[in-house]
Amino acid sequence: MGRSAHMTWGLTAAIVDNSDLWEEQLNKKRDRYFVDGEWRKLKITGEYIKVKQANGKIKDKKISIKMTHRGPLIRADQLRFNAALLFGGNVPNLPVTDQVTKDGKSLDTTYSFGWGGAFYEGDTSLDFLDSVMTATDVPEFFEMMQDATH
Amino acid sequence: MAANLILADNSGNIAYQLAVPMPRRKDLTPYLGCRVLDGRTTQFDWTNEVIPLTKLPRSINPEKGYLSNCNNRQASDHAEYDFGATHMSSGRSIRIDELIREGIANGHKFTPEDMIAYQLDTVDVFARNM
Repeated sequence: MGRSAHMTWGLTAAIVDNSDLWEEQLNKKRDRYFVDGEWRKLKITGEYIKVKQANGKIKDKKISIKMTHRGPLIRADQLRFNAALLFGGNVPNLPVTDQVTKDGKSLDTTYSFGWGGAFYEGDTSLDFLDSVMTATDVPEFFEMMQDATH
Repeated sequence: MAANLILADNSGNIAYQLAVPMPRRKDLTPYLGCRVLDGRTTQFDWTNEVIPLTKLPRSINPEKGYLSNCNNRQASDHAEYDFGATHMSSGRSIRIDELIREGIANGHKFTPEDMIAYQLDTVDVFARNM
Protein backbone atom coordinates (compact mmCIF):
# COMPACT_ATOMS: atom_id res chain seq x y z
CA MET A 1 0.00 0.00 0.00
CA GLY A 2 1.15 3.53 -0.59
CA ARG A 3 0.21 6.99 -1.77
CA SER A 4 1.63 10.05 -3.48
CA ALA A 5 0.16 13.55 -3.62
CA HIS A 6 -1.95 12.37 -6.57
CA MET A 7 -2.69 8.67 -6.22
CA THR A 8 -3.12 5.85 -3.77
CA TRP A 9 -2.48 2.17 -4.49
CA GLY A 10 -2.64 -1.29 -3.05
CA LEU A 11 -0.91 -4.49 -4.11
CA THR A 12 -2.03 -8.01 -3.22
CA ALA A 13 -0.38 -11.28 -4.19
CA ALA A 14 -1.72 -12.46 -7.54
CA ILE A 15 -1.81 -16.22 -7.66
CA VAL A 16 -1.49 -17.07 -11.33
CA ASP A 17 0.05 -20.08 -13.00
CA ASN A 18 3.30 -18.63 -14.31
CA SER A 19 5.33 -21.74 -13.56
CA ASP A 20 5.51 -25.18 -15.15
CA LEU A 21 7.03 -28.55 -14.46
CA TRP A 22 8.54 -30.81 -17.11
CA GLU A 23 9.38 -34.48 -16.64
CA GLU A 24 12.95 -34.86 -17.91
CA GLN A 25 14.75 -37.91 -19.23
CA LEU A 26 18.40 -37.88 -18.16
CA ASN A 27 21.31 -40.02 -19.35
CA LYS A 28 23.07 -42.39 -16.95
CA LYS A 29 25.75 -39.84 -16.11
CA ARG A 30 22.99 -37.32 -15.41
CA ASP A 31 24.72 -34.56 -17.32
CA ARG A 32 22.46 -34.56 -20.40
CA TYR A 33 18.72 -34.53 -21.04
CA PHE A 34 16.78 -35.85 -24.01
CA VAL A 35 14.73 -33.40 -26.07
CA ASP A 36 13.51 -33.43 -29.69
CA GLY A 37 15.58 -36.52 -30.51
CA GLU A 38 18.91 -35.29 -29.12
CA TRP A 39 20.82 -35.29 -25.84
CA ARG A 40 21.39 -31.73 -24.71
CA LYS A 41 23.95 -30.80 -22.09
CA LEU A 42 22.64 -29.70 -18.70
CA LYS A 43 23.97 -26.34 -17.62
CA ILE A 44 25.62 -26.86 -14.25
CA THR A 45 26.22 -23.92 -11.94
CA GLY A 46 27.16 -23.63 -8.29
CA GLU A 47 25.89 -21.49 -5.45
CA TYR A 48 27.60 -21.09 -2.10
CA ILE A 49 25.72 -20.85 1.17
CA LYS A 50 27.63 -19.69 4.22
CA VAL A 51 26.97 -22.08 7.11
CA LYS A 52 28.00 -21.38 10.70
CA GLN A 53 29.71 -24.41 12.24
CA ALA A 54 29.50 -25.60 15.87
CA ASN A 55 32.90 -24.03 16.55
CA GLY A 56 31.62 -20.66 15.31
CA LYS A 57 33.57 -20.69 12.06
CA ILE A 58 31.81 -19.96 8.77
CA LYS A 59 32.14 -22.56 6.04
CA ASP A 60 30.99 -22.41 2.43
CA LYS A 61 28.56 -25.14 1.47
CA LYS A 62 28.41 -25.61 -2.26
CA ILE A 63 25.07 -26.36 -3.86
CA SER A 64 25.23 -27.68 -7.40
CA ILE A 65 22.38 -26.56 -9.67
CA LYS A 66 21.58 -28.37 -12.89
CA MET A 67 19.48 -26.57 -15.46
CA THR A 68 17.68 -27.49 -18.66
CA HIS A 69 16.75 -24.63 -21.01
CA ARG A 70 13.48 -24.46 -19.05
CA GLY A 71 14.87 -24.02 -15.57
CA PRO A 72 16.57 -25.84 -12.70
CA LEU A 73 16.12 -29.55 -12.00
CA ILE A 74 14.06 -30.13 -8.89
CA ARG A 75 13.71 -33.35 -6.92
CA ALA A 76 10.30 -34.98 -6.62
CA ASP A 77 10.48 -35.04 -2.83
CA GLN A 78 11.10 -31.28 -2.76
CA LEU A 79 7.96 -30.78 -4.80
CA ARG A 80 5.71 -32.06 -2.03
CA PHE A 81 5.86 -28.73 -0.27
CA ASN A 82 4.68 -26.34 -2.96
CA ALA A 83 2.92 -28.68 -5.34
CA ALA A 84 -0.55 -27.27 -4.61
CA LEU A 85 0.54 -23.80 -5.69
CA LEU A 86 2.29 -25.11 -8.76
CA PHE A 87 -0.65 -27.11 -10.02
CA GLY A 88 -3.54 -24.83 -9.13
CA GLY A 89 -4.66 -27.02 -6.25
CA ASN A 90 -5.04 -30.23 -8.25
CA VAL A 91 -1.79 -32.05 -7.63
CA PRO A 92 -1.20 -34.84 -10.14
CA ASN A 93 0.36 -38.11 -9.07
CA LEU A 94 4.05 -37.40 -8.52
CA PRO A 95 5.67 -40.75 -7.80
CA VAL A 96 8.11 -40.28 -4.95
CA THR A 97 9.92 -43.41 -3.84
CA ASP A 98 12.76 -41.85 -1.81
CA GLN A 99 14.82 -44.78 -3.10
CA VAL A 100 18.44 -44.12 -3.87
CA THR A 101 21.14 -46.12 -5.63
CA LYS A 102 24.22 -47.39 -3.76
CA ASP A 103 26.07 -44.20 -4.64
CA GLY A 104 23.25 -42.03 -3.32
CA LYS A 105 21.51 -41.08 -6.57
CA SER A 106 17.74 -40.66 -6.36
CA LEU A 107 15.63 -43.09 -8.36
CA ASP A 108 12.74 -40.65 -8.45
CA THR A 109 11.59 -38.93 -11.60
CA THR A 110 13.53 -35.77 -12.43
CA TYR A 111 11.65 -32.59 -13.20
CA SER A 112 12.74 -29.21 -14.44
CA PHE A 113 10.99 -26.16 -13.12
CA GLY A 114 10.26 -22.99 -15.06
CA TRP A 115 9.08 -19.78 -13.39
CA GLY A 116 8.01 -16.65 -15.26
CA GLY A 117 9.75 -14.42 -12.74
CA ALA A 118 13.16 -15.90 -13.57
CA PHE A 119 12.83 -17.21 -17.12
CA TYR A 120 13.21 -14.03 -19.14
CA GLU A 121 16.69 -12.62 -18.85
CA GLY A 122 16.65 -8.86 -18.47
CA ASP A 123 12.88 -8.82 -18.09
CA THR A 124 11.78 -5.30 -17.18
CA SER A 125 8.05 -5.83 -17.53
CA LEU A 126 7.40 -4.81 -13.92
CA ASP A 127 9.65 -1.75 -13.81
CA PHE A 128 6.61 0.38 -14.63
CA LEU A 129 5.50 -0.11 -11.02
CA ASP A 130 7.80 2.81 -10.19
CA SER A 131 5.29 4.92 -12.09
CA VAL A 132 2.73 4.65 -9.30
CA MET A 133 4.91 7.14 -7.43
CA THR A 134 5.38 9.61 -10.28
CA ALA A 135 2.12 9.49 -12.28
CA THR A 136 -0.22 12.39 -11.56
CA ASP A 137 -3.37 10.40 -12.32
CA VAL A 138 -4.60 6.95 -13.38
CA PRO A 139 -4.71 7.66 -17.16
CA GLU A 140 -1.11 8.91 -17.04
CA PHE A 141 -0.08 5.78 -15.16
CA PHE A 142 -1.47 3.57 -17.93
CA GLU A 143 0.28 5.67 -20.59
CA MET A 144 3.56 5.11 -18.74
CA MET A 145 2.82 1.38 -18.57
CA GLN A 146 2.06 1.24 -22.29
CA ASP A 147 5.42 2.89 -23.03
CA ALA A 148 7.25 0.55 -20.66
CA THR A 149 5.93 -2.64 -22.23
CA HIS A 150 6.35 -1.86 -25.93
CA MET B 1 6.68 -10.91 -8.40
CA ALA B 2 3.01 -11.30 -9.25
CA ALA B 3 0.66 -8.58 -8.11
CA ASN B 4 -2.89 -7.36 -8.24
CA LEU B 5 -2.52 -3.59 -8.46
CA ILE B 6 -5.42 -1.33 -7.51
CA LEU B 7 -5.14 2.43 -8.02
CA ALA B 8 -7.22 5.51 -7.21
CA ASP B 9 -6.40 9.16 -7.97
CA ASN B 10 -7.56 12.58 -6.75
CA SER B 11 -9.83 13.01 -9.79
CA GLY B 12 -11.91 9.95 -8.84
CA ASN B 13 -10.40 7.50 -11.34
CA ILE B 14 -10.00 3.91 -10.17
CA ALA B 15 -8.24 0.99 -11.87
CA TYR B 16 -7.11 -2.61 -11.55
CA GLN B 17 -4.18 -4.25 -13.35
CA LEU B 18 -2.75 -7.76 -13.11
CA ALA B 19 1.02 -7.24 -13.04
CA VAL B 20 2.99 -10.45 -13.55
CA PRO B 21 5.70 -11.76 -15.91
CA MET B 22 3.38 -14.29 -17.56
CA PRO B 23 4.97 -16.79 -19.92
CA ARG B 24 3.45 -17.30 -23.34
CA ARG B 25 3.05 -21.06 -23.76
CA LYS B 26 3.49 -22.68 -27.18
CA ASP B 27 0.59 -25.04 -26.53
CA LEU B 28 -2.56 -23.05 -25.78
CA THR B 29 -4.56 -25.85 -24.15
CA PRO B 30 -6.33 -24.17 -21.20
CA TYR B 31 -4.86 -25.05 -17.78
CA LEU B 32 -1.97 -26.90 -19.42
CA GLY B 33 0.22 -25.80 -16.53
CA CYS B 34 -1.82 -27.96 -14.13
CA ARG B 35 -0.18 -31.05 -15.59
CA VAL B 36 3.31 -32.44 -15.59
CA LEU B 37 4.62 -31.67 -19.09
CA ASP B 38 6.62 -33.99 -21.32
CA GLY B 39 10.19 -32.70 -21.36
CA ARG B 40 11.27 -34.98 -24.23
CA THR B 41 9.77 -32.56 -26.73
CA THR B 42 9.81 -28.76 -27.02
CA GLN B 43 6.09 -28.87 -27.87
CA PHE B 44 5.14 -27.75 -24.34
CA ASP B 45 7.89 -25.16 -23.96
CA TRP B 46 7.40 -21.44 -23.47
CA THR B 47 8.06 -18.98 -26.25
CA ASN B 48 10.71 -16.36 -25.60
CA GLU B 49 8.12 -13.66 -25.03
CA VAL B 50 6.17 -12.70 -21.95
CA ILE B 51 2.52 -11.83 -22.44
CA PRO B 52 2.35 -8.00 -22.63
CA LEU B 53 0.88 -6.42 -19.49
CA THR B 54 -1.57 -4.59 -21.74
CA LYS B 55 -3.09 -7.99 -22.62
CA LEU B 56 -3.53 -9.14 -19.02
CA PRO B 57 -6.74 -8.56 -17.02
CA ARG B 58 -7.35 -4.90 -16.18
CA SER B 59 -10.28 -2.65 -15.39
CA ILE B 60 -10.34 1.15 -15.61
CA ASN B 61 -13.29 3.07 -14.16
CA PRO B 62 -15.77 0.16 -14.32
CA GLU B 63 -19.43 1.11 -14.64
CA LYS B 64 -20.30 -0.46 -11.27
CA GLY B 65 -18.15 2.24 -9.65
CA TYR B 66 -15.88 0.15 -7.43
CA LEU B 67 -13.08 -2.41 -7.52
CA SER B 68 -11.92 -4.97 -4.99
CA ASN B 69 -9.43 -7.81 -4.79
CA CYS B 70 -8.91 -10.58 -2.26
CA ASN B 71 -6.21 -12.63 -4.03
CA ASN B 72 -9.06 -14.13 -6.04
CA ARG B 73 -9.01 -15.36 -9.62
CA GLN B 74 -8.79 -12.22 -11.75
CA ALA B 75 -10.95 -12.97 -14.80
CA SER B 76 -13.13 -15.63 -16.36
CA ASP B 77 -11.79 -18.44 -18.52
CA HIS B 78 -12.61 -16.34 -21.59
CA ALA B 79 -9.68 -13.96 -21.08
CA GLU B 80 -7.62 -13.45 -24.25
CA TYR B 81 -4.56 -15.11 -22.70
CA ASP B 82 -4.66 -18.06 -20.35
CA PHE B 83 -3.03 -17.10 -17.07
CA GLY B 84 -3.68 -20.54 -15.70
CA ALA B 85 -5.53 -22.12 -12.86
CA THR B 86 -5.19 -20.78 -9.37
CA HIS B 87 -5.73 -22.50 -6.07
CA MET B 88 -7.07 -19.29 -4.57
CA SER B 89 -10.72 -19.31 -3.62
CA SER B 90 -13.06 -16.49 -4.63
CA GLY B 91 -15.03 -16.68 -1.36
CA ARG B 92 -13.57 -13.53 0.19
CA SER B 93 -14.01 -11.61 -3.02
CA ILE B 94 -17.67 -12.65 -3.31
CA ARG B 95 -18.26 -11.56 0.30
CA ILE B 96 -16.62 -8.12 -0.11
CA ASP B 97 -18.56 -7.56 -3.32
CA GLU B 98 -21.75 -8.44 -1.44
CA LEU B 99 -20.98 -5.96 1.38
CA ILE B 100 -20.24 -3.13 -1.06
CA ARG B 101 -23.39 -3.85 -3.08
CA GLU B 102 -25.48 -3.84 0.09
CA GLY B 103 -23.97 -0.49 1.07
CA ILE B 104 -24.69 1.02 -2.35
CA ALA B 105 -28.28 -0.29 -2.32
CA ASN B 106 -28.81 1.38 1.08
CA GLY B 107 -27.31 4.69 -0.06
CA HIS B 108 -24.44 4.23 2.42
CA LYS B 109 -21.46 6.57 2.24
CA PHE B 110 -18.37 4.41 2.70
CA THR B 111 -15.68 5.30 5.25
CA PRO B 112 -12.20 3.97 6.09
CA GLU B 113 -13.84 2.28 9.12
CA ASP B 114 -16.00 0.26 6.70
CA MET B 115 -12.84 -1.01 5.02
CA ILE B 116 -11.49 -2.16 8.42
CA ALA B 117 -14.78 -3.89 9.18
CA TYR B 118 -14.73 -5.64 5.78
CA GLN B 119 -11.17 -6.75 6.39
CA LEU B 120 -12.21 -8.34 9.70
CA ASP B 121 -15.47 -9.82 8.40
CA THR B 122 -15.59 -13.59 8.99
CA VAL B 123 -18.65 -14.67 6.97
CA ASP B 124 -17.88 -17.64 4.74
CA VAL B 125 -20.30 -17.39 1.81
CA PHE B 126 -19.80 -21.04 0.85
CA ALA B 127 -20.53 -22.32 4.37
CA ARG B 128 -23.55 -20.00 4.67
CA ASN B 129 -25.07 -21.32 1.46
CA MET B 130 -24.67 -25.01 2.32
